[in-house]
Amino acid sequence: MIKIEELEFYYKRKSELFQHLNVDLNEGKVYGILGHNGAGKTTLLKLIAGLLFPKSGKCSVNGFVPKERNPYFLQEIFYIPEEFEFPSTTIAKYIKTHSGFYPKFDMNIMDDLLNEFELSVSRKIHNLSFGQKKKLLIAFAVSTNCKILLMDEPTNGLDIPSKSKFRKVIASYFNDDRLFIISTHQVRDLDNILDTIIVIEKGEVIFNQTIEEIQNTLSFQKVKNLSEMDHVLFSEKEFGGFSVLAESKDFGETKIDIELLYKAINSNKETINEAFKNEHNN
Amino acid sequence: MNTITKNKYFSFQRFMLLLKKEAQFNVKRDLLIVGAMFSLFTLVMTLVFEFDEGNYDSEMLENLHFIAFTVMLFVGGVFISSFSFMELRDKLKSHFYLLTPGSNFEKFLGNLLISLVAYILFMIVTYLTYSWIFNWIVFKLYGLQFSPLNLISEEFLIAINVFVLVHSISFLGSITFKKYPVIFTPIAGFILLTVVSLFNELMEKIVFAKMDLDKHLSNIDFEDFFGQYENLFKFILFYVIPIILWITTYLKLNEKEY
Repeated sequence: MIKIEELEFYYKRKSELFQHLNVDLNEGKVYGILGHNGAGKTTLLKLIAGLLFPKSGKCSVNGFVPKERNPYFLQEIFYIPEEFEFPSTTIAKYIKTHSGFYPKFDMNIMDDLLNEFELSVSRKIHNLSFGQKKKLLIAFAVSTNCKILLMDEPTNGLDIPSKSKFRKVIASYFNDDRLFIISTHQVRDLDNILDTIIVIEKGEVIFNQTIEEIQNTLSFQKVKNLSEMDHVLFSEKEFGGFSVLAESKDFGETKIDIELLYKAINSNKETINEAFKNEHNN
Repeated sequence: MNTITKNKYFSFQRFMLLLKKEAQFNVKRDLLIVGAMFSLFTLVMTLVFEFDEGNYDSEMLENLHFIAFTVMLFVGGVFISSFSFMELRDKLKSHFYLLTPGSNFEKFLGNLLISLVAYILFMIVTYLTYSWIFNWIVFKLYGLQFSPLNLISEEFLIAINVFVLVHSISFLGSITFKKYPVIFTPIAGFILLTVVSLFNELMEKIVFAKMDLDKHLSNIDFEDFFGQYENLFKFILFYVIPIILWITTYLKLNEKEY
């Protein structure tokens, strides 16, 4: 559904962000894009949405070239930016004016999500808090039934109950025809909703594995002493012991700690990727 | 695949949705501009009638409405056309605009229609109504009779033509400048004209260095020269240049990134 080949992009010629970026993203999956600030997460989303144009290379989304901003392409993609500003109007008027652009917009879903997020349609948008505005945008985006939903730091500004509701909404309204991409550095907020984890560093994809592969390859444990474990790939000291990431030789399936995985990749990506290669060869 | 390629540039349904959206979010601002101009004019005229001695010559009685209409048309038009693509100037709003499922052509056409055609028609209807009420009140209170606005006079048509040219310039400015296009467009125009004049001077000095150009120019009957090509000049100025500037605006919209 999204194919990026040898993509080059820079804001200033001297500091290239992407040099030879290659990524394939398919429908039926929720991708989590992780990375430090300035790694290129938001830029990648904007390139996919057609908000930025590649300097060279190919970017194909759902059979379209994003930079052309074909209306049929735009009907099937929705981008939730980290920061945004709504026009000054009521929620009801906003929905009425904008929903027509999306042929598959479902008003029942919109009503359900507004209830879920405790938002009344009669409220003026400029009176809402940032978190409420974000919930409105998430609700609208999900209701469009677009094939591709791009979310840049969607949980920023949401309170703890809303973060949980966000996860529930994503899980409920996702289906095999859709592709969700969530870019974030708050990895804990994405617990249990991701299918694939992609880590970007300095404009390069340094890790790209499905949750299934991660579960088959890695084991996430908490131990009192590091000597209790073999095949340790990464460990982090915490209260009362260590959080450990190890090759899952003998431990079977464990619950993925995305934050620990992310730290391990940042600490030593070669070792982590090597573990996946070994698992694949076995 | 057919459904993907058809109506890629224009669909009436999408266009109407875009017009509705533009009207809903921008019409209040446009009406305020027009309202402010009419209020200011009414205030000025009230002060003139109250404090002036009342010696109005026939020229003023005849031309007041044409002058007032033209000034308002140009001032309001420059502001309204400069406010086109307003969302693109705001980082927090521009992605909404760029990603609204409409073609760039529809977005361009919508703004053009509102800031040019709809604005001219609205101003004509509003001014005619206003001038009718104005004339009636002024006649009752001061006994003065102003000529109504003549929509089929040559001056009126020229004013509209010149406005179309001015619109195309400020429309291009609205997408070129990220901030204050109302200010930067005339400045850029002034700089451009200065550069062209300097280039002209330079070429004159280089190409015609050995020739007494002033003497040759004084021998040319410019009135006759311009008279001969008057229609061609008018055609270029009123029709060709605006179209080129509108096409440039459309191409710039295509190139817009976040």
